[in-house]
Amino acid sequence: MTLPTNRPPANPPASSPSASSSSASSPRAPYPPTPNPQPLDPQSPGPQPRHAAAPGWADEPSAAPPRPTALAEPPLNLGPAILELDPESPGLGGPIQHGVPATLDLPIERPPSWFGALGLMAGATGALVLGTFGLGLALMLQDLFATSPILGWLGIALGAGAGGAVLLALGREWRALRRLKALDRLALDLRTTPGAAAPPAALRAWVQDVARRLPEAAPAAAQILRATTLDEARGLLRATLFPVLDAKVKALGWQSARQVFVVTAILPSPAMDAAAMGILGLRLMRQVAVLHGLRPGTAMLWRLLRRLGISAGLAAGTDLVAEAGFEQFMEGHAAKLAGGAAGATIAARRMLRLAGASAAACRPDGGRR
Amino acid sequence: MLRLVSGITDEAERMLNETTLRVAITGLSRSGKTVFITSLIANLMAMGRGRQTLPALTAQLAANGTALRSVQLEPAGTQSLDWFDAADKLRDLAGTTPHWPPRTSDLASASLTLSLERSGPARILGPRRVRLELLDYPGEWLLDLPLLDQDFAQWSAETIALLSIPPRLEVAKDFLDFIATLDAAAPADEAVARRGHRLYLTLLEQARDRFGLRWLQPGRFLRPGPRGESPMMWFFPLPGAGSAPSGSLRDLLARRFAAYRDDMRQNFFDPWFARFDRQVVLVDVLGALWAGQGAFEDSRHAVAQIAAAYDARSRSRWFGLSTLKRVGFVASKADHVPAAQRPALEALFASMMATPGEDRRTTTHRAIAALRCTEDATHDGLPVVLGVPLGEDRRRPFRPGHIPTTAPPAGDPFWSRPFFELPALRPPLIDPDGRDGLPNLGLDALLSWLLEDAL
Repeated sequence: MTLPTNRPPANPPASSPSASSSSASSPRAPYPPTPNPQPLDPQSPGPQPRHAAAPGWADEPSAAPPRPTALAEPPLNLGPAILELDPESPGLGGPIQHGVPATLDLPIERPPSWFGALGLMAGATGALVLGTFGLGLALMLQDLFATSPILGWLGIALGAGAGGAVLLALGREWRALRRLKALDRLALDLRTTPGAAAPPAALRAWVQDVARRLPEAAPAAAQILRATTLDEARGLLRATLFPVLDAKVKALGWQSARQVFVVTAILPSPAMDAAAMGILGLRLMRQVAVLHGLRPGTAMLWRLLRRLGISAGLAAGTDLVAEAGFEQFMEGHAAKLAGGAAGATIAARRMLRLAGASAAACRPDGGRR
Repeated sequence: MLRLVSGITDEAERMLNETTLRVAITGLSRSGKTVFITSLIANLMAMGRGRQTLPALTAQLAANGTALRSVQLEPAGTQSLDWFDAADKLRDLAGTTPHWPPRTSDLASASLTLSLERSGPARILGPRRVRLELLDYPGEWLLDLPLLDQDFAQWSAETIALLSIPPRLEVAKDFLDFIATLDAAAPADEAVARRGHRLYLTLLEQARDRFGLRWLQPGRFLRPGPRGESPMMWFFPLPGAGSAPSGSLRDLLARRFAAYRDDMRQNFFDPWFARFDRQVVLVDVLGALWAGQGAFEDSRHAVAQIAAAYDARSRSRWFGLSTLKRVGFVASKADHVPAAQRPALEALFASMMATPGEDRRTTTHRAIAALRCTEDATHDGLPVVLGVPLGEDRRRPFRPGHIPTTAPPAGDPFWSRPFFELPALRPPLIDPDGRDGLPNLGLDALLSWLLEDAL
């Protein structure tokens, strides 16, 4: 009689936490569960254990499987043959099904550690300011109540108003962060979905949201919503929606560039130049983020800045290095001709580049081409 | 000016971050090139989407201190070649009536870009890209590669010498009788040339179908490709010493041979078969082994000739150094053999491919299955594999029998077995979108070895 010796388990190995979580969240199970092999042949070695260090196809033998000693070597005169089975026998099953591969942890872009330190410092400063404000308020209320109950209640109303405003601001920040997380989830979906599969629902929602904010993108969104595969949707994103967004981003970039040009050309101090560029840059990032369906918020902007620290500073590192070299060259030579205007031109160019990098960071596929 | 700057920065970025590897997937017809390329693409794409389809490659990347960020199939671009449509091949394998992709009839190419994480301070340069350029083509055409260095007289002498010994002799009798009647200085005649061509073509087809032979030149006779048959192909081997008299049949055949050879060189080999960095040589060892000694020796000869021709074409112009850094010799369809017998298959394959003298290239010999369509089992105490023969719906055991660890010598009783054709088994159930890649045996270890120094 025949028995399978290494039929796959129904699920990926339990030793891989990511595998189990992924399987649970997967909308479909590619292969139906396979029952565990039941040894029927007393001479069989039974199912062979999988190699713990080599997770992969559930039924794939390990890199160096121990040679089964219980199996007899075929006699030298035994030739190849497809063996007939008794027509009355229940059979050995239908089509071959192998196990589902485990899930890998995809490498994610992590911001430089100093970004974390800066965030911690910002958080500590915020806690200090809010704590001081709260304690000051409490002391003030105590003093007011000591002076007059009416003044005390007026003070409470004032404190409640201020606290409500702070809560409202925190709520807005939370909503902005939630929107950014939804974009991250969409990016992961796009990364893990095969091109031939249907576009994820989150992509449709994002496209519709962008079209709501930017009416000229509506025809492009309509086309993307009709896409039947992710590959098609991706192609349409790049061919229809992104050019519309790019034009808008470019316009915003030019607007900021003009402002930076004027400001840096007239401001007498390099420190003031840097401050003006920082403010205008943050405003530009916020405008680009809103254009791409994100909600404005300080925490969201901070996260975006961290992301830019990766995408603009790392992913496009060589590009930046080369452009910076060119800019230095231009600055050195143009300065002889146009004085301070050359520096202002370079600063304006940087705003244009910031607009592009921000747009890439706000898109679900990073604007990859 | 801006365009110039972007051009310079793009080029600088490419020089720093991009490595292109031309990977030659070579093999005789029916050795599994198309399925190999499909599996390679599907598994790498699935791995790029976070599926552990190639564990050995993942481990290799981790050992090199890197990780795969993504894998992208490059768009078709402006190439004149067909685009290798892996999704279409996947649909063939995973459709409602799964079947193997049809025989390749023309060149097709595909390029994959592997985006790899950098570690340490080099992260500032951004992710590294390794481009893999792959080419699929009819295996028969590859047999014309050694023809490039021959003239008609040499080719005729070699071919007729081969036809004069078994097993070809059994199917070549009509053709040999025909050329024996031709006068050495017979005048050129179209009808005679066509008749000789038809007889030669018939013997090639019979040698392929009856004996499983693979060293059948010229390759385009058996698979003419999309351009079909043209008059330059109406030739056949005709012996004769010295230069052919002008206006003679031999002169006509020699001119057609030269035209055919030049056409293959200009349109096939020169543009697409030069300067490879890696090579995978696929060999259907089991098919050859079970087809008999003639087919086995024939496959051995064909593969050795092709590998040598590739090596010669992958040398740089200046110092003659080979650009082919690694060559993986692969016995395909290893899933037809149970795990207990795969070491024997690998040993047999290594002995089959062993070349006298020192091989300066880095080589390996492996037995793999690009798409695994069986499961291991035992039957009456002997190892077998279970598979569903094409056209059936129930699993049946397949017993490969004794697999020798070295090629049996001539006259060994092993070769007295009747011709046995490798059974065509139905592909396993797979996700048609390629979400989980393709189940395979040993593809990950092969890729890991092949790309080790480039990752």
